[in-house]
Amino acid sequence: MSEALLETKELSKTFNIGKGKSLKAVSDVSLTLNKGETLAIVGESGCGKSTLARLLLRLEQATSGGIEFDGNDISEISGAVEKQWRRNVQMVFQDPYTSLNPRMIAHDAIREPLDNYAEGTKQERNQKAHDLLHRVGLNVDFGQRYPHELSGGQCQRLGIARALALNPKVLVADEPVSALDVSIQAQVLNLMMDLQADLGISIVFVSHDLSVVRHISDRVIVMYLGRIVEEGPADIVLDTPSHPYTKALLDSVPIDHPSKRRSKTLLSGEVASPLNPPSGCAFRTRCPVATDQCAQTIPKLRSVGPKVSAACILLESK
Amino acid sequence: MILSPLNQRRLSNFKANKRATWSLMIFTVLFVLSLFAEFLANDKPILVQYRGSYYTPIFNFYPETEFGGDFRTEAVYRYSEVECLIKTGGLIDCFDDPESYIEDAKDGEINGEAIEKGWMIWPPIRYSYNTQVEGPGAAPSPPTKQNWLGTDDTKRDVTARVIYGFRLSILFALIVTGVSSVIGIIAGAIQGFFGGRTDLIFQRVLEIWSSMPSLYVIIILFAILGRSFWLLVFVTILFGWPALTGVVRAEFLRARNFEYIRAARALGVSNWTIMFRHMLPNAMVATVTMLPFIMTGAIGTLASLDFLGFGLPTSSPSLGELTAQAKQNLQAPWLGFTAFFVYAIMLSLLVFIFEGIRDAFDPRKTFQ
Repeated sequence: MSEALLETKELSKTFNIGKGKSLKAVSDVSLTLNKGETLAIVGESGCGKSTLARLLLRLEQATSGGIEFDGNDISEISGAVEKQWRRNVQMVFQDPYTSLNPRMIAHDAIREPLDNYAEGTKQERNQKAHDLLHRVGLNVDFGQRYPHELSGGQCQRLGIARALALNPKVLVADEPVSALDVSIQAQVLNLMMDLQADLGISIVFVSHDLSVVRHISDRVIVMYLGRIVEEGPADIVLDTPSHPYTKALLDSVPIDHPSKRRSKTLLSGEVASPLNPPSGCAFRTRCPVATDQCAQTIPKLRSVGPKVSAACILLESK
Repeated sequence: MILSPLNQRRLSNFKANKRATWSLMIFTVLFVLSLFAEFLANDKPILVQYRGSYYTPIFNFYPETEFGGDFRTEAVYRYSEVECLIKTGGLIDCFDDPESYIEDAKDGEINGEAIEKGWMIWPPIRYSYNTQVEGPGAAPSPPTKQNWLGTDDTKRDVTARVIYGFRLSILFALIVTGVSSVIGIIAGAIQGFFGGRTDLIFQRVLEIWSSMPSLYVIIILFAILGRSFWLLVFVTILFGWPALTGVVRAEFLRARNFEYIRAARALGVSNWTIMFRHMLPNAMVATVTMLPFIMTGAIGTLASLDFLGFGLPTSSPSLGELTAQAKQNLQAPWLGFTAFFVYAIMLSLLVFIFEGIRDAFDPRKTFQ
């Protein structure tokens, strides 16, 4: 039904942190982003979400595994080919203030990508920057302002406008709203959804906020310690989670109605250190249903229900 | 020129510092004046009118025969014979008694005969840095009406040498500071931006390079290649550029993880553009803070080499050489006082100016 636009195959990223130690931030992640859909990547802090987002943009070089865009392998491209490819995938960053050069006015920040690809004449570029400001709901006067003269929400809109300047096919948003006030969050999220509806772009939405994810995404990937533990359509995964980790994650979300509160399986302890991950299933040290078997093998992602896959040996394969 | 609001604030910060503003004004006046040293202190007149035509001896060569003299070498305008020739329009009698003929020619006629009266416009100081002062008296001779600051031990006018020496010191410092900071910034930028192995290797090379005893290398090189101003500039830059790499590298290492750098990279902006459009402006504050030390350091290097006798060629107007002469001629205190005050005033002005600039760039003051 839908066409794969961006695909990763067993993508891994290991950081060398000196003294012969290494940190496996992302392990064997295979995911597919279809045209026009919103894919959410959720998980706790430090589970490799942001690294995965950067890998998708090739801001970091993957240690192993491949990335395909529109059927072409892009994990090894460089030079002019890479520059042309970069137009297709753009990023919106977490902190709206630090993602803008404090010495560039808003208008110039949006015009920079256009200048970089020498799109049209200077006038056309100015016009396009002007249109983009309007497009993301910013007053055109704001074009002459510096980032410190804008609010967080306005900066984030600016960041989105900059990412849209080159008409990308994929927008990778790395926790785009977590630094914003709740009221502003909704505005920015709605803006992103409107843009998606109008432009038909695909969005990879990295977040740790499940209510936001439920609002915006079509499909969800749940990550734990660099691995995908569950994948599936947003409504199914978030309403009837399969993996014990997803269940625990959902239980940690406060419910706004007393009578609807569930029995909670709250997680104890900290996320295991990625420097020294547990053997077998990485989640077993905190898992309420873990058995001795879990320490033996690393569970593979397999289908556990309609369109849903999970990586847990205790779940029955379907 | 339109300044960004940030730079406007910096400018007003600088102006608020009275000491720095005054120092900058005084220094600018002194430096601009010294740039025209040839018109302030020279043994040739600025303009000569002789038999109705005009001559500019500072820029052009005129043989003495041009003014009715005997020699085909350049006219020595200081000699009263030449002065007489010019003022009387080439009267041959000038060689007998020039002074009285100059007096006589003032009314436009000599012994009742009309002459073509000429004139000369002299700079305020009639000596260049290498002019030998005529007249009796031992060298160094004390200040007189003609030699405002006396003469040095080879009877050259100290005032003229100070003017030319000031210019030379400042130009030397400016060239060295400019070139070595450009090299230093580029080197530091490459180190900090690429990091990793590039940084590691570069840093070791820098450690070796900056532990070279530069003074000895300069002395040895001069012994082999002979002394010259440009060789000294080259060698000082050669050993001076690592001064800035450290701070620029640190700033770039910090900046390369900023999200707007990531954003620029995601937008496909080239490394070079990222380095110089996005990162360098943010590293400028640290760089500007370092510049005064490089500049005063360069002046110090030149002074110490000249003082030791290993610096510029002996005929050059050098303040360091003046200091060395002052040490050898303690009976001539005007040399020592002059050298001391020139260095003290020059370095104080620079330090005050740079102090003002540094404060103006201080982010805590800029963003009040």
